[in-house]
Amino acid sequence: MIVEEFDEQKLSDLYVCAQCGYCVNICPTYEKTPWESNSPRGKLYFLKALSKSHGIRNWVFGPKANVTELFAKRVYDCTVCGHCMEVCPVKIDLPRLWKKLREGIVKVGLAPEAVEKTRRSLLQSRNIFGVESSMRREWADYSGVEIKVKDRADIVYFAGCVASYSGRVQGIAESTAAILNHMSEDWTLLKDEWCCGHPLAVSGATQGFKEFAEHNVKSIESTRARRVVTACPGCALALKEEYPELAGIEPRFEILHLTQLLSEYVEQRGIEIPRLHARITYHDPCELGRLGGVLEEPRKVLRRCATQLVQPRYDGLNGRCCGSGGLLKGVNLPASEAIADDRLTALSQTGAEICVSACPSCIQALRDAAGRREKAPKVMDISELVTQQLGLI
Amino acid sequence: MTFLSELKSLLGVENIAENNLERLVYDHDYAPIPREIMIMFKNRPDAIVRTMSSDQVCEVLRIAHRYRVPVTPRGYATWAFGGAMPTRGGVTLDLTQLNHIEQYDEKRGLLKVQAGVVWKKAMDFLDSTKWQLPVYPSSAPSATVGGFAATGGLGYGSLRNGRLKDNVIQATVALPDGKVICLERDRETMEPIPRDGVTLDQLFSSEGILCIFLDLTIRLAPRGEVQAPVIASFYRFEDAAEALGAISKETAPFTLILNDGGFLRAKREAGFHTAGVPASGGVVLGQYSGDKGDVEKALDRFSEITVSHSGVVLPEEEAQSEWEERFYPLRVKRVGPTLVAADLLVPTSAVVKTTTYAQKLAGDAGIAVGMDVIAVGNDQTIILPMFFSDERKTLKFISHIALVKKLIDFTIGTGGRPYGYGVWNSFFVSRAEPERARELRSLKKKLDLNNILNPGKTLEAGTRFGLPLPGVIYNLSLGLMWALRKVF
Repeated sequence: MIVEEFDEQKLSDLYVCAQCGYCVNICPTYEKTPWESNSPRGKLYFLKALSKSHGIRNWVFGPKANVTELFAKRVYDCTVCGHCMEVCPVKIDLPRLWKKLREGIVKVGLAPEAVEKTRRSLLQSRNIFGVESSMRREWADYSGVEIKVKDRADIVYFAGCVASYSGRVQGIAESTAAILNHMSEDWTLLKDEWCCGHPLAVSGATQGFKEFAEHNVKSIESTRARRVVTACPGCALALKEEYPELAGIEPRFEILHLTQLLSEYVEQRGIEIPRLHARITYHDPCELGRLGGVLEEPRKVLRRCATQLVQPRYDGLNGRCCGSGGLLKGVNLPASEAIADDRLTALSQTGAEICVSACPSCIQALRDAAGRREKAPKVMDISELVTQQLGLI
Repeated sequence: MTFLSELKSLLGVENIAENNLERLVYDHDYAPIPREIMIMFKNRPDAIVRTMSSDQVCEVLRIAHRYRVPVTPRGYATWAFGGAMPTRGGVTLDLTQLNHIEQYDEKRGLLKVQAGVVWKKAMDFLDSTKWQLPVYPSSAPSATVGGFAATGGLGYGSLRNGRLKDNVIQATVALPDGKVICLERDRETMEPIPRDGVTLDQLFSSEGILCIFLDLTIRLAPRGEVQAPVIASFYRFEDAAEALGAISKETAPFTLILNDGGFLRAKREAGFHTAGVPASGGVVLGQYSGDKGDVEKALDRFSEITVSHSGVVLPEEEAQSEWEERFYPLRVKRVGPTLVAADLLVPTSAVVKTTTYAQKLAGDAGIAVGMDVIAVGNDQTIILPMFFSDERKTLKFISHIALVKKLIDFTIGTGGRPYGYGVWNSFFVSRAEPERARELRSLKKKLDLNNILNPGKTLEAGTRFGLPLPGVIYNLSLGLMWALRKVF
């Protein structure tokens, strides 16, 4: 049920893995629970053993590997940040492998409770928080920012669950809307936006995923929008990669992360952003930078937003995770928080007064980490910084 | 109280793992060995013990000594000869958490690190200083300081600065009975000072059978005003190898690396960029550091030697990108999927002879081979021939392992030797280094009478049956597999 469902490429990758260990000490969750089985290398070694654990040769010579609850726990002790793939000499597509592996763990009934809870929330209320779906646009009521909900528009703003429902980061949705208004875009929210489905894809509970993809794509296409903009890297990844891969749906519209649109505004449409006299630093969201390939655009924008942009110790393709991805928050909160604390420490060490990122989940994790210490830099999403500098809110 | 319950009360249950999952993933090192061979060894540890301090390491050794339980020390297990693989079960001692940089003396250029520190971490730490590491392994992103000290200490930087041991002025080690000793060199003569009947030089490269390194104080090398990588491509491998010898003698590079056409082809096939023309017989990558004038002179000489060997110096950007790639020779594994590799220490003058023989063997076996060669001394190179195999085809794969035996036999005949022994090359130690073997044997007897520290390695291939695997059986079985290679 686990390796049996791997395609040929993934099965071959188990043998391609050099066991070199480059992925071990950069893995954020291994750092918190440093057992070999918690490292990407250890997991691959176990899977290779599992792929050989059948027949007479296995009975005589071993390796006699069995999937246990402990292994399932290890599989979910992972933020799916993709740093392992980045340092892998043979470039094994580990994030995809982890997701496929999680599908297998769900099928054998060993997934942690948080996975089932997330799945239930999504199926019942179409959002990850399990709250009334009618509350999805309430953020606009509090902020007073003008929102658009139209039948037809050039751009759909796909707000995503976190920015829509989580009070601590709803400023991202407000700011995005304000920016789109400021640029006089013909834009709209979806009348009935559902979760993008990314939590299902990343947790391996992919059974209902197609329904989410179909609903969202149909809703977007009904507006005849040319472009979809989202400030959430997870949503962007779902729309761009997971819909075609897991649901067989190729969206016929362009999908942009907000930073790509902002970069366009700055570079092609000549928008002037008054510079903030401050030292700022940028945290790359894993799903935007390493996994999404959007690295330069946020930096281009930030260089126009502040007088000094400083680089943290690990950034870009080697950026460290904030600990909130891969459902880790749900399955291992202490590890998730400890990773966020480490990341905030590294960002603080730049001496920056403001840590900027471009992802509602990262912002939430870093703000929580900031709240756990006496002195911390201010944590802002790039949309909030731009809005602030343009004086829009 | 039992052995494990003593360990649990010492370290806490959270630092002992007895579950099957952990035991399985700690049962090996880098090399994929067929299960039909592994059955001879009790390579699955009974438990894994994670230590957080040097004191804990010593205490674990004391307890193990008392109960006579085998202890296998382990860093990130990046060696390919079975060094971190148990042969008789017992406990595997995970040393990766001894990962602190303890002291940095900017003025004197000294760095004291715990043995579990990964080389890349030490390198990053020194990034913004005027010092650099004198030597580090090609697996620096995961290899630990202690592991490198135990397994040879030759790598990038050795060409200029020698072995790691030549650059360590002090090391704290735990002996098999848990006793701690601090070994030093005379600061003026750099001669090792004996303590308790042993010296630093004797314990270095003892492959974890005599001691566990706890911390090392490394004498750093000046970073220099400029660091300049340089790269040249040659149409013929022989020219490249000859140029490598001349460049290492006449200029003073920090490092010189030579990759042959087979290696470059494999890397391209794996989808990665390589420097040099597609039909290149070899590429030599060097790095110089020092005063601007000296480096410029060295680069000029590098160019002259290249041209006189019918080579071409490639653009600077190529050199920079290949220098950044120096930790990634394993990219070629993508085309394997398995690599059968031999790590050979040979005189530079024997590089062509050795690689030609390796190519002949590969031809006989019907597989491809790529060479990664590092100059580590004026007349010393490490050759890493990588034969492309597939472990899923077991019998064929074993016949490819037999090929390595033939290559090592040849290397010893030409004045070279395996770079390391561990389990898999232990059959060669008495022939390749008879004096060293005698010394190791006598020290093993003296320091570890009960044979609990990393047993069954270097001097013998200890099996699960308590007896070492006889060399005759090893020779006969691999000889047979080689003879039958075309049948499989």
